[in-house]
Amino acid sequence: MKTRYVKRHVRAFWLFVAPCLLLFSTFFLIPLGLSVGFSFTNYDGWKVMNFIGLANYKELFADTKFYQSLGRTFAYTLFSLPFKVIIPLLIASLVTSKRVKIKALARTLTYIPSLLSALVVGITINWMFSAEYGLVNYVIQVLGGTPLQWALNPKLATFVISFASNWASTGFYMVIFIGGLNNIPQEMYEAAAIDGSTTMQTFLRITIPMLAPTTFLVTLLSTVNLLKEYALVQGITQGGPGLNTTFIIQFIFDKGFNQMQYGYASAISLVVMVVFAFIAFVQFKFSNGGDR
Amino acid sequence: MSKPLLRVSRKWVPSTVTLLVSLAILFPIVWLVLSSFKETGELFSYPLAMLPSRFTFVHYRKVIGEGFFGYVFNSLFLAVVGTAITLVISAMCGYALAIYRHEVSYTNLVFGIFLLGTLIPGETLTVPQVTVISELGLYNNIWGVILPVVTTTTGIFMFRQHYLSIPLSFVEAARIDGSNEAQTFLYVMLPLGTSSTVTLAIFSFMWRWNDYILPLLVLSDQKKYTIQIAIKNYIGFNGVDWSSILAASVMSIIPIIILFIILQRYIVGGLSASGVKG
Amino acid sequence: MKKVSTILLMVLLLSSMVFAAGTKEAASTGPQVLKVMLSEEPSSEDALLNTMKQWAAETGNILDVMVIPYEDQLTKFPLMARNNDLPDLLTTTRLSRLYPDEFLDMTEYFDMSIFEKMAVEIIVQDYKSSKKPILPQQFTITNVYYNKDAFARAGLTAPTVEKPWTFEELEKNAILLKEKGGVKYGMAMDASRARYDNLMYAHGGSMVEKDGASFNVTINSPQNIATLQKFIDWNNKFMPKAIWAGGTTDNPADYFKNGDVGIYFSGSWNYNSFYNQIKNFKWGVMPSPVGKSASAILGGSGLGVPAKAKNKDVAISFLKWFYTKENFQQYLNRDKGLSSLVGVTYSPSDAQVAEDYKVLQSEVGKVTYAFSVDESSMWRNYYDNEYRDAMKQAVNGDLTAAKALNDFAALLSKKSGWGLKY
Repeated sequence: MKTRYVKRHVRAFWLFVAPCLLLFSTFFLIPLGLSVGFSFTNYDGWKVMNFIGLANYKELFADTKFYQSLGRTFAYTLFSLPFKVIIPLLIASLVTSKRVKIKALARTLTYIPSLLSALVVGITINWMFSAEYGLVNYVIQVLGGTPLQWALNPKLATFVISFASNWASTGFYMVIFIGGLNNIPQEMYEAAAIDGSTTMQTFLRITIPMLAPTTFLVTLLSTVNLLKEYALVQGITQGGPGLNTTFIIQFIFDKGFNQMQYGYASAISLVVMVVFAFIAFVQFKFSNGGDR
Repeated sequence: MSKPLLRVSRKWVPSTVTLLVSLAILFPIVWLVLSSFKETGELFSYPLAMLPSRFTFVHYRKVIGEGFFGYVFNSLFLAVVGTAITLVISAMCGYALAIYRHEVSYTNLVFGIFLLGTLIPGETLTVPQVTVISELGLYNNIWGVILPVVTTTTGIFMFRQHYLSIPLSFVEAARIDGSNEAQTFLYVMLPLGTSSTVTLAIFSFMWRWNDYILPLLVLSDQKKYTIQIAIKNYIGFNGVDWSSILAASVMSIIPIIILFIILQRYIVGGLSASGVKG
Repeated sequence: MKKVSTILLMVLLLSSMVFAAGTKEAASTGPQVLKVMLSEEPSSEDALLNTMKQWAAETGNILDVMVIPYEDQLTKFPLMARNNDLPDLLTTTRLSRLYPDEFLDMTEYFDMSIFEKMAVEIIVQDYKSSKKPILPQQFTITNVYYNKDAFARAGLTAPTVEKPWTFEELEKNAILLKEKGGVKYGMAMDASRARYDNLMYAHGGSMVEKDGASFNVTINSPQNIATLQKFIDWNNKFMPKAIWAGGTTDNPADYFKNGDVGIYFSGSWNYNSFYNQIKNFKWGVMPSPVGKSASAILGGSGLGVPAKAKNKDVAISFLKWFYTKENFQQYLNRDKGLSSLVGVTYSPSDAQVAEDYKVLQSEVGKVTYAFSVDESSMWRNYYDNEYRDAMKQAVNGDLTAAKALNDFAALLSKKSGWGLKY
């Protein structure tokens, strides 16, 4: 009786999971398998496909440009990550604060940039930061400053991409933080108020620790998304000046897909995938999965 | 300083700060919208003015004349159908992963496989993905753009967390009443998921609305193009048609903003219910 | 809450049914359809599109234009081919070079002698077989535009065909334009290899040289390194550096159109759009400067019919119509460019256009032998992107001119198997 019951549930489990698993396997796991296969060939995306063993991997590990772009990706991620987490947290605190009146309006306005496609975000940011006709440089000029070389200074170019990326994701992470903030028991704040704790003390001693799991989730999501940054780079700097904003995904496209070296591109993708998975795993272990 | 005044400032200062911050965040879009009404020559002529010297609808008329509404229609179809499928299959999957966690020992393994999906830079799998799509005969078929992306780990995750928060006794009660597993899901558990449902609906709609590379590679009939492709087509090899691109961009964000404003009050509830607990 | 989700689902399902019904295609009867692939949304003054529209109107056939962005065509074209979904006609600069097998051999339909020999050689780019996968459509040449108003303000007169500037004069005048011409940049150049290569050829350099049946890589010759160094200096002094250093998606054609550039190195394909779009200042075409030799690069796009296209015959009938003297003349009048058809020339009615056109034509004589050798090596099939990356890094100051070119030469030599001269 008991085993039949369980068996029926196992079958039900598989039936419920089936649509997702089937589609996921077809359009994700099979392509992943193909990609692994391609990485051992000199596939040109169409006609040529010969087995060449580990040649792609050997070439990759000897390629200094690969290490450089990986290094740039890490530097970019580390630079942007604090903003990705702190700005949405501060805004979420503002729009959940009892002392703020226009919460709903502020949330809506803040969220709107998150609705835009990478293409439109790129267009909008170019429109603001273009060194020639951009609004930002114009305002700097009107205020008597020298226009900044947004496209020429590697640091500024990286900043523009980071700005764009932050701008387009703040709303999303803010919403996640609002969810976390709403789940902090109100009594804790009341107790703190009775103890005469200042706003800043309450924020540091109650809000921040209680939010740890949410903060972990936001950190993990933003790390992965920063490492994968591509569409914005393509729309704003195209990897320049020089190669200073050529991050790893851009590198894969420039080296591989755009030069019809699909085999090589597949090999890079797989190595990068392993690196990303490792980083996510380390973050997960380090923070205990966000559990206190 | 008298006391009432202090109280006023205690409310007004944070409110003003919040308003200013959110307006600053919105500002680039305002600038985009205002620019789209400027005449082409004015876009690049210094001094830049906030408002167009004369509002012109020429660029909008041009973009619409080039078939923009057709692309909107295609994007709408893609987003609506894709979202419907995503909601149904994610709910089923998330439900199974949560409800059978004690009876099926490998639920976490299955969940782990889906989590793999978030780690991989999706763009790099595009080419083999399109290979699979064409092998299945879905090339130049709207379903070839819909089916590959309807499975989202986020969706499965959100529903799983939601159902985890529901006591298993609910399920047991339904079973005792004699409903089979499918009935339990449909009648008891599905309606409970509404807040997650609306949240995921908005996300999914937004993702599909904003897709670019897969529609571009899979669709090859201009009549089937989506708005993002249409926008990109104004970036030419020998120059960018800025006026058209601004107008097209503005039109592309209107539907999604309207949808968001209608449904936004569910979003926060949905995300907090998705188990991101403080 | 329950109601909301039910309504939502109902709406979703209903709308999906309606949409699905709407996507059924009507069976085609009567007029035939010509599916054409272009690389960007054509402007209203686009010469080819307007000529195709004229054809459709005259013959009662239907024109079905699809746009695939230039940069995405490389990924998309093989997919279309594998799915038997190629358009009936396409205009391209490189697809036929990369995938000649996918195109019909035009020699079976056309007597190639009706085309200018040079146009066929340059545009069709077929060095390995006698097959001609495309026919020359837009025959272009690199050329130099200048802002007449800025020249007047700086007290400059444009050089003439008989007496072109030297590169020293170019440099001096570009600085003068920036100082006194009221322009932001004395000079600008498209971020295209071909534009820079003109400098290289004019200074006596080349990418490769012939070595029996093979080639030797000469891209890192001392004179090439000196040329690149000079170019880097120019970028620092009076050019919009970001264009060549990368870091922007801007196109310098837009800078010129906005009156911010004094001298603009581009090509004849921009003439028509400048003619239609520039209203705020006067501009013209000047002969390119001369160094050790003069240099210009021919190029252009061709029209090809994929071998597996559904309506090949419609495409061929369009081409037969297009390449009649009368219709091609009309196309050329719209395009205002060089002719690729023997016996058809563009004779502008507008005096200004006629003057510019004369300068354009004089550029054709400047095409160098070194350029033809480089093209025949088909080096671009190897490492085009890497060359661009090396230039970007050098202009941005991340690499010295010597290091950029030496590294690229080593890479090209390794990939192609050619020897290194330097």
